[in-house]
Amino acid sequence: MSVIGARVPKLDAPERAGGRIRYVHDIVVPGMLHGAIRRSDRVHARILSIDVSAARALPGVRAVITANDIENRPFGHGRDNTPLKGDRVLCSRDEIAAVAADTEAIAREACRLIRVEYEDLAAVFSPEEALAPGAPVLYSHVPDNQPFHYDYAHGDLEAAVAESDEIVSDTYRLHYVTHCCMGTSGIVADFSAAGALTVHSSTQVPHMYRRDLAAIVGLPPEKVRVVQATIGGGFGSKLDIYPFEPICVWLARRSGRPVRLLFDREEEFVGSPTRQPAIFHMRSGARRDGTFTFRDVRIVLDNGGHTSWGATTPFVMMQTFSSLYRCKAVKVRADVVYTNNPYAGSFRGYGNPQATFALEAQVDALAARLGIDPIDLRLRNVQEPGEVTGQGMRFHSIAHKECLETVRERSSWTMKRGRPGEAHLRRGVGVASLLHVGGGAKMYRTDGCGTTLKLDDFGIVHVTSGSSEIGQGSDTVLAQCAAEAMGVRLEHVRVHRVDTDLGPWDVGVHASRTTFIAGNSVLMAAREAKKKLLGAASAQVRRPVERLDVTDSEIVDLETGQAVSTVGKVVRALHFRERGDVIMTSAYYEPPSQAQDEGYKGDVSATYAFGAQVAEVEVDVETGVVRLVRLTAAHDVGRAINRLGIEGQIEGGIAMGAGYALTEELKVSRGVVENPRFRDYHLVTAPEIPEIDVTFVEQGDREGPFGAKGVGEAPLIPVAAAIAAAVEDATGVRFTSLPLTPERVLAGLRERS
Amino acid sequence: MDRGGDVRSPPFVYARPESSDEAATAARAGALALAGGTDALVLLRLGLARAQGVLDLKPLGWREIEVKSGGVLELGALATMAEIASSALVREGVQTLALVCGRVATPQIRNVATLGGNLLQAPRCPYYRGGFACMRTPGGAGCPPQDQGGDARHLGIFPGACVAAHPSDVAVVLVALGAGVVTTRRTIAVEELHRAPDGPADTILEPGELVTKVLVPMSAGTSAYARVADRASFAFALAAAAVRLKTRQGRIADVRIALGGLAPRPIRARAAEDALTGADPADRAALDRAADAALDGARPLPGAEYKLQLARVLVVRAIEDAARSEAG
Ligand SMILES: Cc1cc2nc3c(=O)[nH]c(=O)nc-3n(C[C@H](O)[C@H](O)[C@H](O)COP(=O)(O)OP(=O)(O)OC[C@H]3O[C@@H](n4cnc5c(N)ncnc54)[C@H](O)[C@@H]3O)c2cc1C
Repeated sequence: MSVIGARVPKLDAPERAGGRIRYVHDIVVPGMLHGAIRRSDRVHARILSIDVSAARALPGVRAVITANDIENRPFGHGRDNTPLKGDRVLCSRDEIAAVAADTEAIAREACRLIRVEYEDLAAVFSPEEALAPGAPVLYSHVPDNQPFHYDYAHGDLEAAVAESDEIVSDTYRLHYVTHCCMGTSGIVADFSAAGALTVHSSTQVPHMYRRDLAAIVGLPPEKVRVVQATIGGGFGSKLDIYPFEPICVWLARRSGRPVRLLFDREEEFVGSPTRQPAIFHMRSGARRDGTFTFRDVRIVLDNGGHTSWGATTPFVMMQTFSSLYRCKAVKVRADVVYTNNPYAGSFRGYGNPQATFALEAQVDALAARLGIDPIDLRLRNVQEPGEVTGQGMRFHSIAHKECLETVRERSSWTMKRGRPGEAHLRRGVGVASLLHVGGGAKMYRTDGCGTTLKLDDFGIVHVTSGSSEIGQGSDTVLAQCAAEAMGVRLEHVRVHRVDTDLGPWDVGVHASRTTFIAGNSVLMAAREAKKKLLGAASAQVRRPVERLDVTDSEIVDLETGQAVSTVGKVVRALHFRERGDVIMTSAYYEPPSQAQDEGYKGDVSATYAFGAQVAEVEVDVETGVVRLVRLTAAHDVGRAINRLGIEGQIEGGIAMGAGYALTEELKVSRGVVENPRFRDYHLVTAPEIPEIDVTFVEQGDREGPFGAKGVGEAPLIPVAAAIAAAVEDATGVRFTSLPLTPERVLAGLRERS
Repeated sequence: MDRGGDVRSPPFVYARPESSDEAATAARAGALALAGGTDALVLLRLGLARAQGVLDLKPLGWREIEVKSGGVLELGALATMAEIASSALVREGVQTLALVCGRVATPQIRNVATLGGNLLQAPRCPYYRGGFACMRTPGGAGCPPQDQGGDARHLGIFPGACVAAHPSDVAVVLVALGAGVVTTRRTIAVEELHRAPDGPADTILEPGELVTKVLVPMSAGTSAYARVADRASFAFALAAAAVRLKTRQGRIADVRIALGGLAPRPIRARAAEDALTGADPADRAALDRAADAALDGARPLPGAEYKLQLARVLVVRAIEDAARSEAG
């Protein structure tokens, strides 16, 4: 029986639910010290002096470091961050000193005892302020405060504007939210007597991390081993290296002891990345028949005081603007602007939820002007299979149309749209679509993933993939792929965690790539192993290899249908003989995608995921309270490998999107996070989760493992846009900012009346 | 997981009194009363309560729920939110009280949080809890959002030295119900229990005075409670209104209205009550006038203006709900 498409509980679910999983917080190394970081009290200031004498004198303190005590090498996407800040702080999360001590409490107390003298510098708290003439300059080598620009264009914009019958224009402003991983950031750094470093880390990109961490702390990469701890949630927050990681390594070096450094919850809110706050100034046009003509977008991103991978989110934003729908001419300009705010990193969707929010608002505005139903208008502009978009993406498989039709049907759209009612509780439905990479993203020279596979002498298949489980359930999917390809029982497959000394290379978890890329890599290794296994079995049972297959972990004679051996037996017989052998295979899968050219054009992913969602809301127009009643989703997943897993992924994405739209906001005031705790940062809770109706559109992708596409990020992307559209249907007001709190909704309603 | 104890912490006494006299003595000596502990322990950790020790009230019992002669429902101060919500006596006697106790906080918290602790919980002002010194914090002075400006979304809207919003939903309902509290010294109306703070305290309790029970009249009439919060669970009310009323021949004969989330204590809206007496509960204009009267004098800081609208709507809805249940 095939395990592909089955409902398989996550393989590690009993361990997680039983409290037996060991997160980085549970790792204890003999002799280990505890680290803590002293962060800035200011948002932009020169550091005049740092006095660590009281901290050093505290009993139990084993090491105190400042920028003067370490080789403080610049790092990060903009090379504008350092582990410790010696002369200047640029945002409230900046690290000034660190302590290793016998207990975490002593380390934190010692941090409090460090005295820092500052001289405040003029600060900027929004991109507008930073771009104003005469604004304070954050980095002298970037006098305009704009470290990065992106310019994308296809088509003749002027001509497309001229042929438009309707043009809409607006500005959208998106706010700060953060990942809220249940597992806070942490690391354990441990040097051997010979000076080799082992880190237990929750990074999402262990292999690249090894090289980068080595460079930051000045070790040759061959002396660094990265062992991935079980990750308590990633969502992109563990894509970058952050200062706490090299800091912990330096503490271990200085103290000569292993050091564990963990964030507490407040520190996680203050010192881990956020989603990009983004401003979109946008115009779009259409012809009377609904054909989209052009889109002209200027994006302004608040980069914060240092640059992380978050600065590269325009890569993804522009894909949605250029290619979610057919559109003749598209121009996207993105300016990344330094401010003294916290810096944003990568976060599920990588800029796409923001871009989709803006784009789908304009599509709805055009629909209203043209008098065309929003779903009809979208259907008029979706691409066909085989089409190549203006940005050079080739849609071998695309079920966008089917997704829109499915949600129209299953949400009772036609019956519900445009009927808000008269009572104080108004109802509305709204739609939004999504496009996201579904077959990796070739951001580096390779987008590949390696796998090694070993068959042990009891028939257990050990898969060591370079890819990482961050809670998304990929280990279970990879086990299913191996089981299916080899014909062994699912419970006979074990997927091992990343250890850079043991496992093969991989780019890392991002871009919804693991099922697709690692899945294909596992399939290659598993097919090879099966071939070797059957070869060995054929010699042992003296039957031609063509007559044999593996079913349910047994070697079966295809002519008689009889089991003639078992996987374990074949392997044992291979060991216990002269000139024995092992069954171990390896594979490296490189997707057939291209890196983009200088103009950001190219078929950057091996396939693309689509979806459509309809939100149904109830708005109390007297109190401004918005309730998400129902969310109908249809996703082009290629093929569902683990139905239960993908449902969880979609439901989780919807909950996360509902929080983004309705309740979550990291309040940053004059550079300082005002609500660094779950009491004041409002995630949605069980009562806010709507009725969810999910349909998988499974047309199979020609390149995906068993036809699957990557959909890890996808379900989150359109949620906020669909909710805003539904609120508009209920109230007549299109909100251009989030979250839709009572006061924002009341103010919007008042403005209109 | 051992993360090491607090550095240099002074000896800390945990006391379990055997009698209320013993408890009162210990409380007078400066021990912090501990009921469910859901707020007390947090206050200690944040340094907002300073005490040499805690006094665990649980050995004292104080959790009976009984109907006394004269139609009075008597609830022990240590009865939990969950117990009150599920008590048949409360559900039949004063349904609104059962409903509100079943809605505060989260299911886990309701299992331990007590009635007395709920009435006496400390403000949820983000400045007070967020590490700012203010008139409510030990040794502090002033009111940061009023002195320096800042986000006022969660604050009250009536002027005063402190503009925190009192967090208790239950207190608001009890004020509307005309309930009383019995302490180790006296019996007072819940309405009198809280006061406009001029320092850390927002109640009239004296040092060492403990609340032992709450008395709720089950007199004729109906009641209702309406609140708005950021989420249905695990969120304090942004604004709330409780109403108890009696009608005679289609007219409001007797009404009590209390507001929550708008001031550092639950407020009794007497002007609104006066405006409503004699009115037809179906007369929307009269209800609107009453709501306006309830909010007379409100002066929200920038960012809290929306609470005016919320409170107006909630007052009207609570009156309508109470009148509807009387009709039905
Ligand atoms: C996340 C969260 C959400 C919440 N949401 C709400 C909400 O929406 N609505 C709401 O009304 N409440 C809410 N609460 C408050 C909660 O309902 C508890 O009632 C409250 O935290 C205190 O109850 P407790 O029994 O744990 O009191 P404790 O924490 O034990 O005590 C609180 C205070 O009262 C004093 N005290 C307690 N009992 C007595 C007594 N008998 N005599 C004298 N002094 C006493 C203590 O010394 C302490 O100062 C919330 C609490 C939390 C943590």
